Amino acid sequence: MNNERERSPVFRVEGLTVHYETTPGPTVAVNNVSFDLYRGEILGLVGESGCGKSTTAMAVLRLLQAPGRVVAGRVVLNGTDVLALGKSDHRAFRWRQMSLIPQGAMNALNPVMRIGSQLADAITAHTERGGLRRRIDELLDMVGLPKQVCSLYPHELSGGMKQRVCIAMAVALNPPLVIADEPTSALDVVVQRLVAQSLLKIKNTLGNSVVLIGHDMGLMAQLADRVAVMYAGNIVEIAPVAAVFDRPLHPYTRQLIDSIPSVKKRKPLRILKGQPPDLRQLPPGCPFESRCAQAAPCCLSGRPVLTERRPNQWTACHFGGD
Amino acid sequence: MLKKDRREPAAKEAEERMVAPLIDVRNATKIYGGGLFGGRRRVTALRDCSFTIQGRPATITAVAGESGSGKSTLAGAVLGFVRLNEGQVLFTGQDVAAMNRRQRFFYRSQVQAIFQDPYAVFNPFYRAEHLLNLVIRRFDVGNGKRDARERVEEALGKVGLRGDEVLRKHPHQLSGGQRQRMMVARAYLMAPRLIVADEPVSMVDASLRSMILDIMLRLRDEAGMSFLYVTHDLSTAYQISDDIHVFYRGALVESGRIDDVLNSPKHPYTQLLIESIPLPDPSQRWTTDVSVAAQEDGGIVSDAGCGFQPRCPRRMDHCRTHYPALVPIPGTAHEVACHLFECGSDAS
Amino acid sequence: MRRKTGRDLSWLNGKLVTGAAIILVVVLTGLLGRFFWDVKQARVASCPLNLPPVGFGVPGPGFEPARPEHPLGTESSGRDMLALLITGTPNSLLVGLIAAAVGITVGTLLGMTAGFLGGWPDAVIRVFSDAVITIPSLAVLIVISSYVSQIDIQSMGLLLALFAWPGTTRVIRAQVLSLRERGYVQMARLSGASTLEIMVVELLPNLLPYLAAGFTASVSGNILAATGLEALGLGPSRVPTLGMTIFYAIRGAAILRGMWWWWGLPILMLMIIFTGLFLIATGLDEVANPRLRGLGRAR
Repeated sequence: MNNERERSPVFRVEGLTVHYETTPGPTVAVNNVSFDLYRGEILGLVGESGCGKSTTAMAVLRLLQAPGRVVAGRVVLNGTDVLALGKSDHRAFRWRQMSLIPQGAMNALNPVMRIGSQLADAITAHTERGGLRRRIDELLDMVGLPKQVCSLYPHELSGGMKQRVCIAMAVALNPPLVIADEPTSALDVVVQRLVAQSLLKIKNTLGNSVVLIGHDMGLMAQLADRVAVMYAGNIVEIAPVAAVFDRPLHPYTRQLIDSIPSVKKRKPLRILKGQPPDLRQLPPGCPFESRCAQAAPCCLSGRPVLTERRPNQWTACHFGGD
Repeated sequence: MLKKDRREPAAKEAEERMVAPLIDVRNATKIYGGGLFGGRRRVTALRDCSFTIQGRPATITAVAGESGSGKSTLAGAVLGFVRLNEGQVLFTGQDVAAMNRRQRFFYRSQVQAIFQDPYAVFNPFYRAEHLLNLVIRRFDVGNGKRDARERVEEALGKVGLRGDEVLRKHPHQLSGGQRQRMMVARAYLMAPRLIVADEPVSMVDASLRSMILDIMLRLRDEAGMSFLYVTHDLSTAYQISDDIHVFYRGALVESGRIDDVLNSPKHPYTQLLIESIPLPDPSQRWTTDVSVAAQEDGGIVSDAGCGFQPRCPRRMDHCRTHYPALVPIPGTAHEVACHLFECGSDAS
Repeated sequence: MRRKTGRDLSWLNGKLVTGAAIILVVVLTGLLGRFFWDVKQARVASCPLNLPPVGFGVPGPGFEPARPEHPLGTESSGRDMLALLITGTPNSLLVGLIAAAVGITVGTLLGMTAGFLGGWPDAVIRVFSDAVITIPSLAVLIVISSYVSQIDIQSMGLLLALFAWPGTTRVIRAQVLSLRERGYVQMARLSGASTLEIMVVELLPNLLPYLAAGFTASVSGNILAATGLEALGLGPSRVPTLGMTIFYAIRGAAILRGMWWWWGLPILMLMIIFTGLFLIATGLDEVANPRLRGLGRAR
């Protein structure tokens, strides 16, 4: 693990803050989020709905729609400041450097175009035409789909197959960074495993880095190298996957891990009391304070900052580490 | 509690009902499409499935399967929303499809449901209390307004809500968790013997999931309510269920006590299913690839023969032509529908 | 779908308010005008003939100049234009209202029955309403009207209603088909509600925005149809309406003679009415479809 830290990160997000303009005042959807991603690494971005993980992804890809907007932060990929690029530069940049595997492939594919054409589009829109046919076959093979899929329409494929086509599209130009936004949420368990394994195989073959967004901790345990846990727009813990599952530092992470059901052993149901806070009225202190068993007066006034409490394990908690 | 004269039909009928199982599904078959006006191809949503829920003692029975397994159709049949092509669903000996108005009314008071989508079950035109008012009015809950109000508070209290928090609000002002819990409170208010829970926690966050599952357990233990827990998530099924029935493409492939089925699954599909669940333990990662044969198919399965055989790593020629019957493993209550286990041989 | 309900007034938007204001002014003019102006001047031969409106010149020789006691002018039969407008507008509105009200009611009943019950009631109603839609209504109305010698406002409204109901039937049927599968309908069934209860208590309130918008559009369309019939001379002759005024204007060669105020003022009034109704319909559309509203308000 140590030699990873000595390398410089392929992808770095610094202080990203996203607001949604709502009446009566802005809602902070993403608050000062920072993380690094190293080459060939899968970073899992986990959290419940409303925690800001999808918004972070959209902001990084510059796909945010009004009323959301990035108010602060830098996003640096291989030395290029993504948010500062001009529109046409960014268009060339996108997909070649940074691509997206969306949630719900059913909506991402054009229903009136054959698969082959859509793959071709993804490739040629950003590069030249030579060797197109060969490349398409290569891609389909990488995701484990038969060549015949080229001539089919999206509605003739099952959900898992469609999702794998989306993976193929995302890696068509071999970008160093792939953002996978809940790529398996809509799929059945067996298919989910297939798609997850495709993703892993591709990552190992091509060596790209992946930001894997989701809420399924089981999937994170199987796929991610490091995990970042988000809560109410903040990253509350970021650490290697084994550390997050065995020795979580943040109270929220601990409760999250405790509540995961498993088919191997039956655990007593632990109930996490309270609800996620209203993002429009975030308290000045720690956003998790109202639900935290360890809350103390200092948690009300001071918002904790992400600090390294153990080697390579960071948490945003005044008491992180016990 | 509930007015006896309105709700309990003849005493003799009632006695008979005490002995018969609460829910007895017999050879239930449901086919969609096909025929003259079908247009779409024929889909067998449920295929000759049978099982029972005793009712006493109260149990949580899981019906597990992926999409297309028929589990939602089964839930619909038990609730009387889906008309079966063949077979019956018997409620304490009475065929649900053949009930007259009065019997159906009684049935509704005994078998209730909670659904997956907490957003959709509220009529956006009314306040949240409308959901409960319907029940109170129709089933004469409580003796008079004050008593009814107390019963509502009691039901809400069971799920961790307070009347003044939720009743007068509009649905869009409540959180997903509050809405889901109100649905459970509504079911509780009617004091049914069985609650059909159709994926009650799949649209709910991890924090709420435990709470809802805990409520289900408490209702079983404290109020003697049985559950038919329809889900695709074996992990949560394992946490709260007593028995489990595993479905694949409309067919019941494996049944038994939850520990038996999940710890030593016999049917190849159940084995595949359990293997595919991502374990929340980084030290136990998937080591092998899912075998190529097990890849999902988009093809049509012929009605003869086992539904799983195109994907089964252990299929035999026999499987293509003969439909496997659900047979018990000798000496246990664990049943499997697979030719590997016919004639009592344990071929695992 | 999260919509406004109850006392929350955030759904009032500019279009709705403006449209409602316009219609309100028109209605009040019609209802209260008689207290401020002598409407007996709408009768034939009660005023001097062919006076132009105040402030405008005569269209040709042989015309007398405008007089202040007839600010909007008069026409060839000696009727005061302002009085005609005051008495004729409510009648025109009434025809539209009757036709729309009957059409919407019948259409909703049939549409809900077809959508909710399905099966053969649906098939019958659908075939029937589709057939009526294809019939060229204006032609049929002309034939019917010409047979009837004396027609009054209410009969005219009912006649138009004959063709007003299929559109609503189809729209409501489509809505009900989609709402039928909603979770709250299933909940109502589980709570033992009867079919009628479900239709009235659960579905009908959610159809109100569509009904309101449909009603407004129907009033508009029916006033237009009525005006069309009247302009051909097939309307009520005993009471003044805007359309009949136009008919008399055409028959009295108003265009050739340059008496623009005779046909122009009723048309202007009709334009005002249609604009008001259109704004109301568009405003209601925003209410029914929260996505059209600013994102700040919809949650």
